[in-house]
Amino acid sequence: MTYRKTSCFAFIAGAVLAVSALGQSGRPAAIPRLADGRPNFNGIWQTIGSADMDLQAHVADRTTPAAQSVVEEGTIPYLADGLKRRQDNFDKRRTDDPEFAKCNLPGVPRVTYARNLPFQIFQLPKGDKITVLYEYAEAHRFIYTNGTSHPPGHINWYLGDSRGRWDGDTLVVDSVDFLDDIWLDHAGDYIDQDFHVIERFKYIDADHIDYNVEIDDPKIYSKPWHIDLILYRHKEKNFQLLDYVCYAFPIDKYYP
Amino acid sequence: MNKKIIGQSVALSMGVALVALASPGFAQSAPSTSGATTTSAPAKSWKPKLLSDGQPDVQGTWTTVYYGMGCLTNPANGDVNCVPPPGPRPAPGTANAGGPPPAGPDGRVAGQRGNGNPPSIVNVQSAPAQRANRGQQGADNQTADANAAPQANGQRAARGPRVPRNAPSRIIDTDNYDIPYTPEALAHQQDLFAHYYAPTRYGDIDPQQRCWPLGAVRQFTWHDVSIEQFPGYVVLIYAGSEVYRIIYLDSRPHIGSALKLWMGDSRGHWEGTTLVVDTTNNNAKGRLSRAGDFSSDKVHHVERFKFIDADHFRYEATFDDPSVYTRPWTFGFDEKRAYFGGDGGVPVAGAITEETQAKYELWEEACHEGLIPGGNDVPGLPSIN
Repeated sequence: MTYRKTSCFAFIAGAVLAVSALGQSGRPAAIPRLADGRPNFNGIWQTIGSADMDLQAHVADRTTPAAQSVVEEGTIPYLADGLKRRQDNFDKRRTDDPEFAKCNLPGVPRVTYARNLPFQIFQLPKGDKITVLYEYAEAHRFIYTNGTSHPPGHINWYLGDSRGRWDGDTLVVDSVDFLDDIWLDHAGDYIDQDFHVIERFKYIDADHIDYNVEIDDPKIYSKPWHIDLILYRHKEKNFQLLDYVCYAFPIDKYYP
Repeated sequence: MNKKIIGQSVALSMGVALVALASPGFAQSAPSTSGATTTSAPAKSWKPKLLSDGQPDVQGTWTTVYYGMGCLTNPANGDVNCVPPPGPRPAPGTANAGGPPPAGPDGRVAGQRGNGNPPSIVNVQSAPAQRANRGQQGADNQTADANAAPQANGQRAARGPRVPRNAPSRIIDTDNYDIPYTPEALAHQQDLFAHYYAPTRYGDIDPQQRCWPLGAVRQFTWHDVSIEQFPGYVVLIYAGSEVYRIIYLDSRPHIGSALKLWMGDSRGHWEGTTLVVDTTNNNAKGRLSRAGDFSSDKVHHVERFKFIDADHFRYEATFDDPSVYTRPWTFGFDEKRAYFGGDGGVPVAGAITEETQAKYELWEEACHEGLIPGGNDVPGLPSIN
């Protein structure tokens, strides 16, 4: 596991940018739009920070910088049993985290911030769906925006089934149909099959998206709770996705 | 992975079988002495719809006319291995178990190195041979129609005319329709193949068995591909695993040569209805088949997606890699549009309509390292941590 050491510096720089974009005008910034008038999210985006390691406030350790909580409520409202399992997960995180130890697809929303890797959104005006391609494990998601509903029955998927709709300028994505072996971060926060997640993508300005995630599972949490992150647009010339085909073992040794 | 999900690829093949009904002449194209260009001439009458950035609209899900990555030189519908070199053999009960096929009248064995199927092979079979092939609906029969999804009553859907079992070599422009390896490279390929079923060293296990990306070219021989187009991009998203390619149409330079990617780095442009793609930066971790065929990380591909009409394209990719091959050669095969009956992401046998086609959704099939003990056909694949 390598965590990008530049994250801390980039976070500060990004935060300064975000604040100044709002602060100078005092009015909502102009945002890119497609021919159909919808916000145009096309581009390469990336999170900054430590959410993949621990969503909640945590001290630094050998692999993880300290960070403030990205949970809006501060802490995750676990029921007693859920908290106990979370602690068990935490104790075994080096060997049991499905993302770090097994390189499984990390579920939603973790795929958005898994190892802080970039992802690219492809969106067409009046399109049937929005395609999101992730550098992490060459994963992809289709967010159907054609008014269709989730397919019948529970289906075990890593990345769930995502159906999107527009609420004004906010893209609201409803996802269900997850496997029960998915963690939300390396600290053992977890979901199970009844997990229901609603993501809200809303432009702050042309280069920053507010990514707000509502998480609900009455068997684990006492009430719905929220993750709030900022997605930063890549603007480097010729920046492109590479591949991060996650390896759960020393690739250089086994495939020299 | 949930079995419901695994079932989809089987069902996809059903769609293939149904398409074969609609265009029975395509897979068995007219005999051609040149072979390589059998189906590559664009139909002059086809005027594709153009997208907002001028690209011909080729969006949709496409499927290979014949599947299989066991043997590039002697592919069959489904998956049959080349004749392996002396060494460990597939375990009984595995997909490719059994001895080599019997020699033909010419004394040669299909699948033997240097004996690639000529482009005309599907046409030279005698009627008795075709009848004999039709009788091969036993254990080794993995053709598209045999993969047809059972219907609710447990019976298979009605079959169309059986597609001949043999298919042309995927190597289309060498004298023996085989890969022109250098002697050293040939020895390496034979060594990899000999250890395919009984890995003894690091690197022996085909990365495909770990569910890793197959590489830019091999990926087409396995499952379907969904083509999406956006201004400045062609995006290929593959069924059967989590893997995609982004083909950039904006003339940007390739990434630095020190970067190596599983699916390479692709720059494309359209020449009429042909998408020409220059692909470099291949990490060469993936192989080209289950028979140990390979290239090095210096390989340079020029890929051509020659769209012939609304439902067919010919794919050809050059392999230029002097460190492995004595001359550049070309990999080629045909793809056709996949049609789906059923409801949304659950394609089943049934009437194909505009509505069912529009409702089809490519669903997650997370072939993924660590999830498939034993891989696809290597029994007891050791896990490594």
